[in-house]
Amino acid sequence: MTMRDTTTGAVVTKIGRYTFLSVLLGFFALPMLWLASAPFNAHPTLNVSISSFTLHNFSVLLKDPYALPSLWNSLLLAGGTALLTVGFAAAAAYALSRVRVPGRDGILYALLLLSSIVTGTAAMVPLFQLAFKLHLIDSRLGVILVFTGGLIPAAIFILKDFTDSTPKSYEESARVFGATPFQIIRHIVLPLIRPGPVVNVWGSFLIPYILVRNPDKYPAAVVLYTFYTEGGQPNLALISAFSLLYSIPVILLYLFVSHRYGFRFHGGIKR
Amino acid sequence: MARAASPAAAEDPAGLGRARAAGIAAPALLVVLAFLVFPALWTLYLGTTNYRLTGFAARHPHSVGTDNYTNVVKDPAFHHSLWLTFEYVLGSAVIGQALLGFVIAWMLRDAAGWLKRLVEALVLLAWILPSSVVAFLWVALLDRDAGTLNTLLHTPGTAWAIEHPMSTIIVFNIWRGTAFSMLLYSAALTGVPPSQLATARMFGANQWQQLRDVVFPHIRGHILTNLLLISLWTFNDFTPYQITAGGPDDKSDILPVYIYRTALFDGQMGLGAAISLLMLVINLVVALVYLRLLRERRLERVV
Amino acid sequence: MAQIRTVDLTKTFPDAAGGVTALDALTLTVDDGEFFALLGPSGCGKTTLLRTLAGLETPTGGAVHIGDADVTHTPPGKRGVAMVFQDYALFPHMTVTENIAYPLRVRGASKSAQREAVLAAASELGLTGTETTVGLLDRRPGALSGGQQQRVALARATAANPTVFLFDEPLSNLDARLRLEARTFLKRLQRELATTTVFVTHDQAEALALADRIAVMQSGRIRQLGTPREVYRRPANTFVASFIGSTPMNLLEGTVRDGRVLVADSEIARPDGTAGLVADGTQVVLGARPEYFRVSPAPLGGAFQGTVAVVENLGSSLLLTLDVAGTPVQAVVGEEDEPEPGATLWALPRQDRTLLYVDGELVG
Repeated sequence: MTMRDTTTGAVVTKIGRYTFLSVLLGFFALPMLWLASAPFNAHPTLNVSISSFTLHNFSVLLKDPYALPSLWNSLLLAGGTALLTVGFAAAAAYALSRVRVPGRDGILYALLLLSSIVTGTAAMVPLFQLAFKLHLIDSRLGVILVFTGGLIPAAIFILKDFTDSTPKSYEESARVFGATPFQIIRHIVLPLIRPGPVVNVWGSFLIPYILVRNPDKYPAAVVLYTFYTEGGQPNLALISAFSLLYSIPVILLYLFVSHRYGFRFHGGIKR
Repeated sequence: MARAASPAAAEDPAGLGRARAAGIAAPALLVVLAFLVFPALWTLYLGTTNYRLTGFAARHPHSVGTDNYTNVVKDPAFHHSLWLTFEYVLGSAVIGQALLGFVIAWMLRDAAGWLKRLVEALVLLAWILPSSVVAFLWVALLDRDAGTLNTLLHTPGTAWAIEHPMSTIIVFNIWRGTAFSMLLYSAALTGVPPSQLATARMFGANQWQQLRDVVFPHIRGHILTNLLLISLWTFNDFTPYQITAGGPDDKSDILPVYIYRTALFDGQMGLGAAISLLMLVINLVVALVYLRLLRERRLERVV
Repeated sequence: MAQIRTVDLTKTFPDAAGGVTALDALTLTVDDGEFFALLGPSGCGKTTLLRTLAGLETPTGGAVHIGDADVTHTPPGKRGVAMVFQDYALFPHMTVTENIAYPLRVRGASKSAQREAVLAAASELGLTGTETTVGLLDRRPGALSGGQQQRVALARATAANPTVFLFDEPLSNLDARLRLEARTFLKRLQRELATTTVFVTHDQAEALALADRIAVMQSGRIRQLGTPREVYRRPANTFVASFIGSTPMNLLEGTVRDGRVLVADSEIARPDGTAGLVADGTQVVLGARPEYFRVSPAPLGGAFQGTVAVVENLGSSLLLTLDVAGTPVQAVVGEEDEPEPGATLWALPRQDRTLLYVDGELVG
């Protein structure tokens, strides 16, 4: 008798659970449906439909003088920022993790504090000015440096935690075999700390939007915005196709990361 | 084993030495100094000037003392914006993302592999797509004439973003940012010893009692961390500008949007900097609480 | 091939309370080709000593000699030592081959020399595979079992062709069954290579089984140095006595009277070789290993009389805990002699294997 009760209860729980999960899937999928359908629609509207399949939108996009270069530009900006951030941060994180540099704890504390409070939004005004004064306003390097400065502290923190949790016996072992410090870094340390989270660099709209004024250096985020506003009427064919193209690198990166490392927290955030 | 007795053992395992270590750390610190520390200090200075983007004051800004600050603090538009920001952070982050993130993590804890991967992939996708793309997806979703939502709900002609601007950006931000809470909570839940849950179940505890007596005590620290971080990020989030542009009639004029419009749209850089500084102060308070917490937890781990 | 000598070796770690002394003026010689164990509880300084020999710690005072050279200030890579870490420290991003070749790669050896050394070391340690087993050389450490990882770590150390091996808890990461197998393997390997080897362990059985000589350490000092037989038979002090032996030695407080030892209301014969060394009335500790008792249900002269409190089955034998006038005394009997709990028994320690300690130090 009690058996049956628990079984009925379990079924109800199960139904409730799957209903909730279905609604949840719907909620998260709904906005993305348009991204999957409109680019292939001959007459895209803001509605989701795939009445007439076409790749025409993409060929229009390819002819647009700004679209592809801006996408390339975005890739360069993001890639440059990611490289610079991870490179600098990894070096600093390693040194701070393994060697008792004087004032180490203070430096880490200050870094963490700074990165949390000086956000792109809050420091919008001085960043704009700084770039203006340094004549970096239209330069790729300027944008990259500003991004890098903002991202380094968190990256140092995560990578330091990661290094802290990596056994020191790896380096010691290599050292006993006679490896020099730089050999140890090249052969052992770099490969060990290679998994670095670089996903978040991309697609940030604000700072490139403020800093970059010259159309041929527009990153993709800005170009998308001009498609939307230019001439009052949004060019849906261009926008949808461009959005999809713009999203592809991020999706690929996600697939790569989740396949290779599992999209999980490690180091800094997992505590 | 025996290493526990050697407190300072194994410093510098690669034999770098302090000088080389400092050299390795220097580039990162210099970039941070130039592009993070300096702007923060510059904000402090700018806030005391009448600096403008264009015109005479652009070339010859002069000090106006604390005028900017007193003006801001007295400005009803600022109060309005602050209140909206509070609603936005509370609704979308503290309640929306944190709660939904936990529920998803809890439900997926022992779900089938494919289901887990599917849900996680979708939630994560919402988090990692470029902001401008995401903003446009929502514009398309909510459009008055041809939006997907109106078709779905049979409510043609409803302009969601205009009629309910705050609700719109709150729901949007829940959609956008729940992934972080979900990830953090699923990592935290793996740290709850299954044996303790099993023990509770064996004594007949129901789901809620298991959550209250076993799960929450274990992840209390994670919950606080999560709340502080997502509040901080949501507070500084500029993306809503791309959906409602602060409107209509300033009805969704949250602080980042307010600063943007004041400083770069209206060109009142000095005034914008003054508001920025207030924002930095709020960030500082939250960050200090967060770091305090982090430090306590580290000590706990050592003990 | 080399001898290791330490002279007044001292290491203090700074800390808030003024410093922790991990090594306290240690002077020690490890002979050429010897298999030498550093044994002791956590925090006794054994790992610090090993790491100081490797050069990973710099001593606060004293000197380390390997062979004819004073290596006190020589960096680790130039000492001709190879170390196997407790966690093996196999580089996870390199294959087994690359791991084993690493010592040669660092020295800039040619590819062919590397290959040769890898093959030699790998076949020595049974990693190349036979007709029935698959070779492990192309795998990554993550795909290996604990025992295989240990062999790879040993192969890598062998490939370095060192004059001294240093092993930090070499068997502690293996499960119980594998550990015995690996122990035999390790001893055979050391015999074949005949390379001076120092290893650290907290497991007395491991030290007894493997080592030619053992240094038992406590608080940065050596409490006894000797062969496994010496250390087991005649522990120099009660610390070593209580640390060595899989069933701990009975250490019973008593007094000497008329050439006998009065302990737990029983009069026990004085241990051999202590005649005339201890005055009447001296407070002593009588040491008697449970393995060296004659146990009988009938009265025996000069024996402990007690009731059986606990019987533990050890497989081929039984460990009895007797209640002797309120003092627990343990004795091992054969599997066929299982008594009922509560039974009265007489337990007579072998006079030639009992020991006498005064102020914690062995008499005689």
